[in-house]
Amino acid sequence: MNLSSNVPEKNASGVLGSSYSRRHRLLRWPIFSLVVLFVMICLAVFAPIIVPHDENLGFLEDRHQPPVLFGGTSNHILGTDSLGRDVFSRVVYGARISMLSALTALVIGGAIGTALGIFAGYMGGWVDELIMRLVDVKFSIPLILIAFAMVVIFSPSFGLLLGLLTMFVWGQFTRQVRAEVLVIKTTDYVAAARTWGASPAQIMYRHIFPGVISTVLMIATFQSGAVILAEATLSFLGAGVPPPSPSWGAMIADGRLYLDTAWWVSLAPGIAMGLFIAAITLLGDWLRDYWDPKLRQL
Amino acid sequence: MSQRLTFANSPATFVRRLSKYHVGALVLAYILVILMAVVFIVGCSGNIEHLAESFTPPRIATSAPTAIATSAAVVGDVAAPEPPHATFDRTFSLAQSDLTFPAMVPSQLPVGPGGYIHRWGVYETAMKWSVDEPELEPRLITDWKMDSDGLGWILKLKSGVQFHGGWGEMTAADFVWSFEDEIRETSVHSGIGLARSTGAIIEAIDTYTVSIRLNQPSSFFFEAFLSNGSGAATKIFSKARVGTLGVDDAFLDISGGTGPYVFEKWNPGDEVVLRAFDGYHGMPPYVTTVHILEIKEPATQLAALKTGQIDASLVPAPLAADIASEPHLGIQSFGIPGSQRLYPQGQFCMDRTLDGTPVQPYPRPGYAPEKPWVGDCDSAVSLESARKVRVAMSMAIDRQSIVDNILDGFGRPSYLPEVVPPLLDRVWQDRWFIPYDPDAAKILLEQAGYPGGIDALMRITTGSHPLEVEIGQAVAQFLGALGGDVTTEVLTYSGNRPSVVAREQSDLWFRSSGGGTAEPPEISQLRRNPENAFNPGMEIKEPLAIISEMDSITSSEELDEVRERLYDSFSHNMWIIPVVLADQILGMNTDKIESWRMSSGSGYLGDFENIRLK
Amino acid sequence: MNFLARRVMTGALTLLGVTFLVFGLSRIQGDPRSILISDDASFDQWQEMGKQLGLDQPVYKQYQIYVVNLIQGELGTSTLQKKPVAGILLERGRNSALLAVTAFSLTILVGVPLGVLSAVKTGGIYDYAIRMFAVLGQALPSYWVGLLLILIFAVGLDWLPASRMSDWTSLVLPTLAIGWLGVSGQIRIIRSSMLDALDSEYVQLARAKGVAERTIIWKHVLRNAIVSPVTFASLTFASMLTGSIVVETVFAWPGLGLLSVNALNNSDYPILQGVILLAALIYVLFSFVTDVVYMMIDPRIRIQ
Repeated sequence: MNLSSNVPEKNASGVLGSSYSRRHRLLRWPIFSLVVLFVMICLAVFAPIIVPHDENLGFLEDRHQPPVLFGGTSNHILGTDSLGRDVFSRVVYGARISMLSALTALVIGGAIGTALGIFAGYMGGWVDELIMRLVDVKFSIPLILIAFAMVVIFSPSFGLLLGLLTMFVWGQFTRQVRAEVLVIKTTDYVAAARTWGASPAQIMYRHIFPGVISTVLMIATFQSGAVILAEATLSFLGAGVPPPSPSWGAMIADGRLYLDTAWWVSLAPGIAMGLFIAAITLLGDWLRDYWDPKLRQL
Repeated sequence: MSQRLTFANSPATFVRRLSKYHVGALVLAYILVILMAVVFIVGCSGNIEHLAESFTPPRIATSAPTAIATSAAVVGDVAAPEPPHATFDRTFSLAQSDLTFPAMVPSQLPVGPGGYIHRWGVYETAMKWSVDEPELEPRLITDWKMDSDGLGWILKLKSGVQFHGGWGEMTAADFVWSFEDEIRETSVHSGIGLARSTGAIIEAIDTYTVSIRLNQPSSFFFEAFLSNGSGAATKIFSKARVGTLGVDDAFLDISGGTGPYVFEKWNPGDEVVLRAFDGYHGMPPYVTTVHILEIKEPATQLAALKTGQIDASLVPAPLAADIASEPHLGIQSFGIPGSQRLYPQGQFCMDRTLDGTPVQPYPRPGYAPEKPWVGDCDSAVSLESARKVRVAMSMAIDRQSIVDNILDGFGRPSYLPEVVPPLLDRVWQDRWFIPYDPDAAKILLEQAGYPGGIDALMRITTGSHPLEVEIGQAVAQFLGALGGDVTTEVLTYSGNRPSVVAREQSDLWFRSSGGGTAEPPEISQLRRNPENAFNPGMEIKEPLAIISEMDSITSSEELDEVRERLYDSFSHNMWIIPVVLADQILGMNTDKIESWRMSSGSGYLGDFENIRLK
Repeated sequence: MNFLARRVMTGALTLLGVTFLVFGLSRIQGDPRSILISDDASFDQWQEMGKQLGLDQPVYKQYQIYVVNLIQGELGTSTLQKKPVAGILLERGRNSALLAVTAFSLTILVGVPLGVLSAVKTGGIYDYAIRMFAVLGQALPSYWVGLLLILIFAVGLDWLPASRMSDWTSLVLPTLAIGWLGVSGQIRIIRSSMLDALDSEYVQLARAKGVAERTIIWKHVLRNAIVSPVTFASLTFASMLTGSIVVETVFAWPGLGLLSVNALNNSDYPILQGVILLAALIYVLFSFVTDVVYMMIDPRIRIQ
């Protein structure tokens, strides 16, 4: 499946719409997103202080204890998993690992993708052609399958997983940024910089890059959900975050056998993940409308 | 690029221009697509059965020589004039998670599929493990006797045994050919080493008599090749079939066995259908059609079992109680439990094979004396401290807790590598017991120079048992409790294999099996010589020497004595750290199934001919 | 350069890039023999197998042979099934296509109306509910949704079969599991392009002229907003055609996705290569057709 909603290049416009102020006034603060994200980020940051138990160590005797409201004890408020580990502690640490891996992939992938996009857009010619064909290849192959194959070939590790997740995201940045650069390139201030004798590198860095930052941030927001989802899919195929480290995706996958008997093992991280991705997607929607309603195609 | 939607022209011209294209052009296209989709679905859903049919691998039955076909019909008439299944159609379905298409040629048949095609009753072996007793009973033979010098056997074949697909009656020629093809130079068969080392020669004496001669006595040969206990067992294929079709077509052709069931179709990755064979030489089976459905996801298998979509499937131990609580479902253990064990890899200490050939390359890339569990091959002190580490690791694992909690009681602790019942119960000595004693383990580690525990990477390979990752992680958790940092990696068996074959690994490897086999582990599981393509990351002379000693013993008392020495050696050195034996649990629809007795000889699901329905 | 010719060439270049990647994939796994060889094989057999697989040739030569074979339609032979890859892909492709068509119909039949509704009623309760539905569809792993669907509709309510391909009822659950993601994407993209169009100057102009709101929405807005949703839909359909790996695995649906998972678990690289190439080919074809359709509709694209 196409994990990321496809971004057609056409609607990228650096020019703010005339209705900017009207929509701006209409926007309400995305309370839901902010609250959910704030709580989750707090959990992730303060995980070591918050968790009541070691997230990777359990006692087999405590296996599959239900959550507190379903007959469990307050010792394990979200119950325990099949190795007797505390599900709450793992969900909290899972927030950390899932967010960190998404963040890393987005920072690296975003940097590479943006650089390529600026380069392709500004240089044009065969450079542009080459980079855009690379992007086409990226979009045309079933990435989950390739990623799974890579994990089978090289043994799975956290580093490899991050590399693969990076592979998922860069193309989106390149496409969108390039389209935007094509517009910025024609603006007066770039032309002016050129006549003053600025080098291409300077122009790209000083004059073009600032113009695409808001777009890059928005793509990053939308892609973070897709990255976490991709990690979950890879976990199902046995190619996600290596155990025992908890990630939401890995926990959902590990607990799926017990959905009928010990549902909390899979459901708790599933809800956490659903909430997080929903919150960040809605935040992305809001950001886009706030910054630039013309970019709604993201 | 983006100019396209920034409306540079005045809006008025744009609107005017737009109206040139009819409003519905694209909307119409949408509707068209939807309509086509609906037509396609309606068309195809009626055709699904039909589509599935068309995937059936080609069957060659019709192309068989007519004379043979006629004789088959005659024999069929005589043997079973009115088979009971002619009037009833009793079907039965079960799920399996992975069905590798086997090569239907002896020399290309790998062990795994080789095991299940005879367990399913499509192919047969000379002898078969009895359902009731742990003993062998004749199947394709009527009688056999050992030569007076103990170096050979004379087998009397059953007459009137017909091959599926009209390939005629089984004779000594087929028997000899199947065996010879299996052990030919290029064979991938797992028994080839044993056949070579014993110099086995098989000959047809007359149409129904076969003689097997060895040039040295072997305690394993008979059981390994002539019983259905192992994947290596010689299945009898029709010689004429391969002769007529050629090897490449025979590879895919699914006719040619002799068992109570014939392959009706084999749809790789989807389903296998078995149909009762009309011309079977024994009792016609009660269930006439068996659907073996490939469902990869265990959670889906159980859902299919609960909804009645399938009649039986394997059940992971922790869900056995849940399955048993359903009114129409029941559970039973069957076959031989699968062994779950830990290989501490890297102890490659053989620069020569047992017969003196130099090992290439040597030293092995995976030889890693710096690993706590690997000793320097030239230093007795280092080897001893590595042994202590392995024993300590073994003592740190609470096997009983794994059995009680993860396996829910369906299994037992394992203290000897790869040794499974019934052999295990026969040879068991209390001194092999390994206590769960983390404190003693810590003392041992301290003596070995690792007071803070050991750091290790444990690879858990998947694809054999639904609980392999859980058990592997539990083992890692126990090892981590010694103080060191134990990380795990989960990967597929085939993904892990290349570096094992290349002797590159020196980490811990947790490996599991779905079910065991009745063959003694000395035949292949523990006999991993350096010259073989595969071994579990260790090459040590001591156990291999003892095993080769066993080859030439024929008296069973003497054999057990040497075996005891072998197990003592394993128990003392912990080259392989046994963890648990996990029972195989079958969940089945008790509203439909009256009984299903499976022979004790193998870990594979099978013996469909023994199913009785209500 | 002529737009069409250029477009054909970029498509071909993309496919060439994919063959490079696919070939590389089969080579970085190391010596294929270490996977294919049996546990008890001897060294001689190892050598023999190397010759059979053409491993004695230099790598660029191996790639050349590979590409020439591909152009002749020769995809190789499955190492596991010993049958030509092309035939296997065709058989399994039909099953995946069946699922893709139903899931795609769901995407269109549900996604488009909900997306339009959501855009037209911006800020209302419908908009809110539809957006939540869409956001959740993109927030939950589809295999997990599939398992939950099985537990609810097959095990719990016993309305539909739990797995496998049989009659039409067996299509429902996998279609829902795959379709939700597609529907969600479609809703979001329709909604946002509609809002874009609603904001645009010509709509404001039409409003100012006093054109009825209904006419504006159906005649001006939707028509102008349909471009990116069509792109999205056609590319979604392209990716659905080669099967959803996880959903097919969960439902034991014998399509290309399940085929490739099995191939990977058994290191059957020719099959894997075939699936990846097929996916790329379908994707390139679909985006080509989409672009050509646009070109016919909107001549301005030709200039670019």
